[in-house]
Amino acid sequence: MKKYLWFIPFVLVPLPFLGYPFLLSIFVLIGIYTIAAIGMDVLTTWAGQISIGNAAFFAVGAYTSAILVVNFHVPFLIAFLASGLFAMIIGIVVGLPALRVSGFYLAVVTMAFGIAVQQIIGVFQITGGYNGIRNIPVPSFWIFKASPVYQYYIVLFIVFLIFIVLSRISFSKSGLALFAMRDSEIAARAFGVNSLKYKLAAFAASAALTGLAGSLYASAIGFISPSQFDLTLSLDLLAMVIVGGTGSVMGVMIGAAFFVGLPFLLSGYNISITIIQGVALIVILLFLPKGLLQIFKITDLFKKKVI
Amino acid sequence: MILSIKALSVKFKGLIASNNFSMDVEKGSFHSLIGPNGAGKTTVVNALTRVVSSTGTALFEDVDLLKMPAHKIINAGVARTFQNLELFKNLTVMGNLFIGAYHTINYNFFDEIFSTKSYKFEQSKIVQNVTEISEMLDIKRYLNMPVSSLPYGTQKLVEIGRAVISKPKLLILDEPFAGLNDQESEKLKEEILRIKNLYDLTILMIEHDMRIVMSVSDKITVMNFGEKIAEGNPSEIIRDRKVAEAYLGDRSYSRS
Ligand SMILES: Nc1ncnc2c1ncn2[C@@H]1O[C@H](COP(=O)(O)OP(=O)(O)OP(=O)(O)O)[C@@H](O)[C@H]1O
Ligand SMILES: [Mg+2]
Repeated sequence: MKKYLWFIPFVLVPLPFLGYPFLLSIFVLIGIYTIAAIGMDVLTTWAGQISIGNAAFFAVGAYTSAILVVNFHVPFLIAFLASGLFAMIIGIVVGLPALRVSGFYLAVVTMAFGIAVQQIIGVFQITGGYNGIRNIPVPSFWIFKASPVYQYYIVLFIVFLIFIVLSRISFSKSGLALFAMRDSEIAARAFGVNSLKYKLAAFAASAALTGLAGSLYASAIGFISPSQFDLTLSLDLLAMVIVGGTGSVMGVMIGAAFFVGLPFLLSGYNISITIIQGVALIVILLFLPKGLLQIFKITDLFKKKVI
Repeated sequence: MILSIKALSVKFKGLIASNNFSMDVEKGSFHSLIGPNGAGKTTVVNALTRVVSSTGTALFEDVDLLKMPAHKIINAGVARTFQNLELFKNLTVMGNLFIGAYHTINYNFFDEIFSTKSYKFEQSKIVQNVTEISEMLDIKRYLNMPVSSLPYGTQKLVEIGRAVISKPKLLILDEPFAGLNDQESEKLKEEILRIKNLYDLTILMIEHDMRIVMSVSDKITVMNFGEKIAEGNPSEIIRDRKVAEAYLGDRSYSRS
């Protein structure tokens, strides 16, 4: 139970800000990007693969959800799950090249995929072309009415579920198989790990998580268009993982806060956020290879524990 | 006979690393594969474990290893170590040994997520196995340490432990004694012999240290330039002229 305790502060966080819906909606966004960044972390830190096209999964999730809710009046929960599923299927297709290429080449392939999806979305009528989709309703579940504080708890609950699942997997057969494949594919295969299967699974999981985040994003922002899902988003997702600290939900959350929260904090000042984030990225890569989390002496979850 | 290799050939862009190589390994035997540097010993093992593709056959208890994908070899009962350590460097010793038992795990993804009974049962069984093997190899105190933080000799023990924990019938060791001092070598030799008896293993070992090879082997196969040049028991190999010639002028001979 102890490992879940760090979640309690996050349950309490909104209470002082109940009168500030704008701040709360920033917290919501941080949570949403945390989910997408976890998707990136699973792919990179866990499975040792790379993607510079995850913005495409985010877009697929956002559009699937928005189209289902706006055009077909599907209940949000179903649209939400459908976006994860649809993104996952596309993730498997994108994962296929990863079975043949790795490293630099995989980075280029996924980047091309990301750009292609962005272009394709801009062409179709049902996606609203380059104008996108407007007035996407905020979901209201059951007793939960549409307000930032409820959104916050919904997102927090999803992050919590993902955390539980990941921490269970990380000390088990499938998690360790991924780590093993990442560290030495030859040895992993020699001990029975079907690396093709796990590479595809990593892409599927990464895409599904990012797609779910995209669905939440569409309803939180209420408006989507192709330009929101550009190469910068893919790179930001990668940077969130590096800045916060790889291999843990906490680290990824710090990264998401850094990339999503900071621009809002500094929006009143005349400071270039891109420069700050760029410098931070360089400093962290040079001095804190394990991310900001290193300052708090929390290391990767799978290194610290027994297995 | 537990393993029968017939006409095994491996080509690397013009270089024939293994040329029509044949060899039989007797069940329960300690069989050594020796030869000068670059003779093709590791290549033969890489072919058997499907790391490199090859032609020929390698019947292991009536199944042809060369027709299997790499990740099925362990199910057939063949485990190996690597000449240039292939550990999971970001994992602890426990994590590394755990993967040794990977192919024996029956629970599935949903068991993991919901922590089912069979999950808990198998997890604790593996941890128990890992603990036992690590005790035997005297590496139990390192279980929770990242494997990359350990000295070279200890890392080699972890590799052996990872292979042993998979409960193989045939254990292939690629130069387990390289880089060890005399004292460590002597200790490891005892360790390996003990494991062999305890688990009823057949061992195929590539090794340059002739004293060790001569003292443990039931049978020795000698390779040079991808071909078998001699085979026999230690006293036959010691007297073989072709073997002496192969090793003359090779640094590894004067070393050992
Ligand atoms: N993947 C590869 N690609 C190209 N050439 C290779 C490859 N692996 C091995 N070789 C070459 O094949 C030959 C045999 O190599 P191998 O590693 O099997 O020798 P070895 O008998 O194990 O030698 P050592 O005692 O030095 O380990 C060498 O000339 C080596 O350079
Ligand atoms: Mg070799």
